[in-house]
Amino acid sequence: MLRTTSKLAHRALTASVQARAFSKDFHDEMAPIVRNRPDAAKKSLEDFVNPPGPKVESITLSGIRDEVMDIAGIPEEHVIQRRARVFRPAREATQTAWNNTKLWKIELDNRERWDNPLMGWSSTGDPLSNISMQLDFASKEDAIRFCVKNRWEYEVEEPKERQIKAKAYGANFSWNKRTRVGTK
Amino acid sequence: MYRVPQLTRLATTGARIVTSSARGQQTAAAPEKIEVFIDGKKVLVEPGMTILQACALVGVDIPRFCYHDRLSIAGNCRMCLVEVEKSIKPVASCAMPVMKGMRVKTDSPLTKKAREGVMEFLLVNHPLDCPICDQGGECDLQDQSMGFGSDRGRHQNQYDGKRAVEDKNMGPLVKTSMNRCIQCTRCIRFANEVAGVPDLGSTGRGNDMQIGTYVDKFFASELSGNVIDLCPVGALTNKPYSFMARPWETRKTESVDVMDALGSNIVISHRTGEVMRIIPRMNDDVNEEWISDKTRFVTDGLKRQRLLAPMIKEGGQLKQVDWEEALYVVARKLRQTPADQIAGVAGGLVDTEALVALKDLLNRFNCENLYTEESFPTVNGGGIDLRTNYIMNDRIMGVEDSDALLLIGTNPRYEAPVFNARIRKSFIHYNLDVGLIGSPVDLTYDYDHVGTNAKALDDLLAGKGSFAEKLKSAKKPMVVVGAGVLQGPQGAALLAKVHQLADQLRSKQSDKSWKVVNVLQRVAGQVAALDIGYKPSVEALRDGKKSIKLLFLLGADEASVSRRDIGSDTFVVYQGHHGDAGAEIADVILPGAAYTEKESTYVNTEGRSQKTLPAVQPPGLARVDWKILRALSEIAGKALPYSSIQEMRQRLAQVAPHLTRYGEVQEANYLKQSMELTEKSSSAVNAELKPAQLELADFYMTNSITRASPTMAECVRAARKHQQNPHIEQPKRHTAASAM
Amino acid sequence: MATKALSRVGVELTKREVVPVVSKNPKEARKNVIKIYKEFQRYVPTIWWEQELRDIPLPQFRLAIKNQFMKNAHLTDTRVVDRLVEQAKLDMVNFRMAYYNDVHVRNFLFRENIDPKPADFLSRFFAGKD
Repeated sequence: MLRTTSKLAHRALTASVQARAFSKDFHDEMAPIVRNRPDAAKKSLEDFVNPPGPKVESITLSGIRDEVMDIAGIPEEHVIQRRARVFRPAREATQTAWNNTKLWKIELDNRERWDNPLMGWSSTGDPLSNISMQLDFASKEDAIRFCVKNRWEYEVEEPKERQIKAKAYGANFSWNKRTRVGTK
Repeated sequence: MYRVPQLTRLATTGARIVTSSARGQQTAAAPEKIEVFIDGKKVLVEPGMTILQACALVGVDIPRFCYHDRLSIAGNCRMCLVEVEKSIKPVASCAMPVMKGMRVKTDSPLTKKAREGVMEFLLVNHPLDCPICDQGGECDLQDQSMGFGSDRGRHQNQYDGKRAVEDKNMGPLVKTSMNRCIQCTRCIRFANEVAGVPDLGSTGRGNDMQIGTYVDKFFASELSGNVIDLCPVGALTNKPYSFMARPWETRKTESVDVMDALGSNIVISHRTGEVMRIIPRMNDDVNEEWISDKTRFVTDGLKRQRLLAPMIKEGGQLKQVDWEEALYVVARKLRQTPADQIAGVAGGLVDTEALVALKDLLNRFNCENLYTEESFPTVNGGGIDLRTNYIMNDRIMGVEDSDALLLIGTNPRYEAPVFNARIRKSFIHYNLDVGLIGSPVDLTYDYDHVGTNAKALDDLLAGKGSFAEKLKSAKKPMVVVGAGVLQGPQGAALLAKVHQLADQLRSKQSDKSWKVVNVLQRVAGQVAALDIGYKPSVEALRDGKKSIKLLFLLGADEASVSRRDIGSDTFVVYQGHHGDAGAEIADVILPGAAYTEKESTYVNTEGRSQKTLPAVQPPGLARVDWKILRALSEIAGKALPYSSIQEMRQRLAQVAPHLTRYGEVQEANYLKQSMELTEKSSSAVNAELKPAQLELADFYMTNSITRASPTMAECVRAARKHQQNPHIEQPKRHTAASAM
Repeated sequence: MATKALSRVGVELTKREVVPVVSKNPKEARKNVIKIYKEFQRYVPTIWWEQELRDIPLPQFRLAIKNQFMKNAHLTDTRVVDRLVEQAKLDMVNFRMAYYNDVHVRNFLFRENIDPKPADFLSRFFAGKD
């Protein structure tokens, strides 16, 4: 960047540069355009006026709680007054499949549901009533972290694991008349 | 197989292995485990297990219809066929025991072909009822045909047709459409083994095999509703719930039942603020996977006879008012009446929060007259001050460890049906010897009828009789006395005798944590009330012994206190959810919430504190019980110090810490001191021990909710008619003598 | 935090490394906040006049805007602060484009047409099932 050259010298220099610019062999002789970096980007004026500092890869946050919830826009009554229950769902008694019982879920306190007079569908005033439908967690800790982030009071219910007691077909024919199965 | 999704790397459930043996817990030495290879994965299993169970341990759920964890193995559906390496034929994994070095392939082409073939056969004779079948959406057949069946079948309906089977009439609870039956025989095995009513069976064979009672018989069991859960297809369905809802549109709320004192874990299915049905939840310590009929079918009682708005009696008629007026009237009465003329009576369905709130409220007005409807002896052995006197000390699970059980004055078959199922299970599998003192009732298992009178206890103390010898030689004897016979004037003496017997049996024990003496309560709220400090009988109020001017009835519906007892000028305030006996005599009615509508705590008969969750909101203007009392206290000028459920729970924890430790049983101590405080007398108690519920018709209507239910009324009618059925016979029982 | 069974609100005590959004340190974030605050307050008289808020004295209105800024004074996460600064800029743009009506401003800043929800136990009890 040209700085403290005197005005006269400056004018003389520009005149000579201009003269040569229009000559054919300007580039070869005087100031060959050196392109060392083919990916050179044009710098904007902002960068000269307000030079950015050294690039910061990361900053350290040592907050007590996640402040993201402050801008989440959730009304206070659905943060402070909600209680969460972290659990693993019970097996559907009418089926013998255990696959749906493996993931952890969160359920909030149940609020009122009523029949909507327009179509007869179910209405509720609770925006968080369906979070247990598709929100699954792989582990208890993940679910707890979610509750903490959302600032809900939470309670963890320990799951009841099924006990597999060894069984044998031979018990149907056992010597002991009590365990013997008479009917089929 | 049911694959564990990738996401759940942390969540693979380790199903626990329990060593089975003659006694539940007393294993001599854990048998050496065998190594088995399932889909290439090595797993060490116990030698007695079947392949299906070994696969379940790894996380591979093999499809099946007839196998059930809690029933005997049948092996007739053939859906569980898997390929085992050295075998030409596929092997029924539910019945084949594992052998050392066995290699099982659950995803090989042979296995897949077998499954598709079996599914195709099952669907040949299965009607196209999915749109009208209640089991649609929760049907094992649907899911397994999608997961393991082939996409097309070769059945030509216009040439071969499908079989049709007549529907059987099994009573007002179980709806049958036997076209859909796949003859898995789960219902037969349940009725035979768990319910103890061997009325279901199969007739015919091959294509003509039919499941039913053969004659038109009511399925007369208090656990009959569980076959609805067991049936993998829509052959046996819930009659009151038929065509009401689909499972994917209902929400499930896990809660606890209050029809009896066991606190069976349930799941309330509800939709749009209406309870649709109640199904069980697995809890191995309390109710395994079963619930009684009352628990299951009481949902329509929750909708009828409900108190919807506060009412005040004016000119002999109850008039609807709003909350402010009703609470103001009560608060004024509360302030004006002197302390010793106020009394509170709590019923059997009241939750712990409401009990604590009422006690706090009345105590603030210097009143100590708080009673429960259900009596319990207060003298002898420290009365209700020592917890060991009124709970089931050895726990419900203790029945499985015990080797001699003495039932005194109780009919557990109808007082706590799931408990009875557990006794029956121990009788069958763990060689339990049962003795009964009381009316000779059919308990579904054989027992030694020691006597009908309490005098028989003296014989046992002296060691006379065959059962006395069994008790003496038992390593873990258990004595269960029903709370029903402990009422009345003889109750205290009877309890003392029971303590004496228990003391004698306990002194031979080496394991001091086994307490021998247990009480089976009849109502859900009793243990909590006694824990909090309610006086357990309304005798003090009867016959005008005290002059009571203000009486609080908190869900008290058994008509234990009538107008004659208290006088015509007593002001009666009733707070409850059904319009039953209590609301009849009331001057002010404050509508409360039933157990499906509030988040509350109930303590079961073993002292386990459990939480109910609200599925729906209380109807009309009704509110949650403890909130009504809190509002009342504020209007009366002495506001209670809690206004949210968290603060209420903290108060509960202050009163008794175990009330908020949900799901755990706390050891009750001071049994030794309780024994010391018992008056040991040598004179016999002469009382006929007759439990209140003797036959099935007595079982169905016991509290305000069941009395309001038309389904229960139908059941009572069917049970009474069943007595005249010419086909019922006393089932052949396996006596202790014939078992080897 | 009493017994095991009572519910609890967890507290995260962590040090996390995060990627900055606009401002790289709290000082820069604070500078940005003050900048946008000053710009907003300079624009306030225009808003006050155009949004028909002349029945409220101008100092009151300035105070209301200040309170909206002070509501978030407790935040330390610079990314959240940057986001809020951006939202303030957008608010200014919205005022300029007259996307807000006076009713919106009144309801948001002064909660004028909103019935207060019952706060104490007794009024909530009489009002509904909450």
